[in-house]
Amino acid sequence: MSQIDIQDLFNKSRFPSGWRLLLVILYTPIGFVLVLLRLLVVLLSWLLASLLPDCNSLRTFLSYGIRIAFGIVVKIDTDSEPRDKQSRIIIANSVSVLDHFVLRRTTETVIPSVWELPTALSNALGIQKMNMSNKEILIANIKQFLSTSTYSVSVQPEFGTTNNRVALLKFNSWPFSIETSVQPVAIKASRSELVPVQLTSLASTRLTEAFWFMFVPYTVFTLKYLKIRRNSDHEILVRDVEKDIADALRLQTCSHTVSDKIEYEKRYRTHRILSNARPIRTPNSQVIHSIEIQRMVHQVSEVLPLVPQNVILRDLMKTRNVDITIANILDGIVTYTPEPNPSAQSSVTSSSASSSFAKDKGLGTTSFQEKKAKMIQEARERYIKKHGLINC
Amino acid sequence: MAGSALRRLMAEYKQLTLNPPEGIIAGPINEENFFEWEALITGPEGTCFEGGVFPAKLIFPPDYPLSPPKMQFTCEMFHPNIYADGRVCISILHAPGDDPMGYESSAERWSPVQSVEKILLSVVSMLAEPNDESGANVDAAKMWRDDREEFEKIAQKLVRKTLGIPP
Repeated sequence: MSQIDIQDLFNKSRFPSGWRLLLVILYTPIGFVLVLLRLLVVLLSWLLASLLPDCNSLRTFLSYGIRIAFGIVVKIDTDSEPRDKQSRIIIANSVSVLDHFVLRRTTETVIPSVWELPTALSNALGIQKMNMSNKEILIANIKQFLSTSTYSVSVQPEFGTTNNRVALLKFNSWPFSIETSVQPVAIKASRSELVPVQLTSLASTRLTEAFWFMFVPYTVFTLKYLKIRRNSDHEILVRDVEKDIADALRLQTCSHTVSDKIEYEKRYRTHRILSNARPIRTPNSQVIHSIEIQRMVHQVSEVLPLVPQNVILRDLMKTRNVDITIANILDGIVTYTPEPNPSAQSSVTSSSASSSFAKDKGLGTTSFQEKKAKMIQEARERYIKKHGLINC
Repeated sequence: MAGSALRRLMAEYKQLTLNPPEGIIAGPINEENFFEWEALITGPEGTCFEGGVFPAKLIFPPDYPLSPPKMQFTCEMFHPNIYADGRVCISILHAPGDDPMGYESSAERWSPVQSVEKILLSVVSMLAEPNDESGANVDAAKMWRDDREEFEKIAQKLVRKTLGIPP
């Protein structure tokens, strides 16, 4: 398990710091005019897509419209392999909320999505509505789609974006069980140096991300196709492809998944609300920080009462994630000498621990049975009283 | 592995005995086996399950709390999120990996920081507010949506049954 700190994976702020921020501020009036004009293009595209019947020329037109509206420029890397039509599953990394459009422009692919849009528009955007209530249904849906359509399917098994500077999120393995061969593609994106607004930032919505696409003059996407990978064991295939894409982007792979990202975002958001709401009472962010760490130590300690707290604390400082620390300890990555006396330990860690449990073991059961009978009896009496029944 | 599961279950049992949440009791059926629990849940007030005391069984895996327990009502139930055999279908009993796209927030899912108490409280709110999109019991979901009156009648019958009061 790699030791990459999850907070290095994301941009906390979309904006640069120092004098480069001045550039963004100076650019702002132009940015807003651009947003207005581009909103008109979006509106027009939406109207056309809803009113006109679906046809190829409409799709081409919408594709142009979207390109103008979001300022998207797509390039193919000079070292790229050709797109190999043998493989109908494309695996890509995630860089922004509009990756599906970029993939649609360069390869005839669609990405499964939950949104229902007019056909021409969703095709131009490169998304396809599918039932995503669970993995099996979705896989069946994708297989069926591949057998009936000429389009291929792209999947981004990170299922979340990162800042694309340190590492990829851990790939989910199910997309690799659809077919035994996949073609990986590495996507990079960059924006003008004069308006250095990042593509993603932590805890922002799709809508804000799309807004910033309209605000900046343009966004260049560079795609690099890699050699097809084949393996009938999808657990091996996923790691191979993950390595290929990471190498092509000169990034690392790590063990953080999209669930970790969501969890981290939630903590980040609460933290931000806390520090906004009480700017005077909490002058020192270190205080909040240490309270937060103490709370996490406590949580781990409840799960694993035998592990000394200083060991837990040391690992938590690295991971900042309760689940990962628990996994590290259970997997033996973190070694420790067990606390000699579990009862003494647990009475220190929490009042809820089972210090004198052994003694009242027998008593516990009888009182549980008694409690059960008492609870039913009381509920019964309450019910009879409430409904005015006499003969029961 | 099982050792840490056992210690955690003992700690949780102690906690539930010392500070029981209102209308809920839970504990091992038999002291010899800490991996099978029984729980009694009172139907929340102001809902159609009001007044009933519903027994359920909780089965813990040997790698608890890494994997979630299974929960099954042992009395007759009629509810959109409870299968005909009594198994309960709520998100907190599923590990985050079961969600293919990671769209559902992992907070509502099982993780080692959840607990028996949180599961039971989730079940109470599930009794109060069924999620009619889950298809554990399609008939119940349909009736809950279309014929609330009939649903309430059935629920009241079940409540009386759990209390041993003739309908």
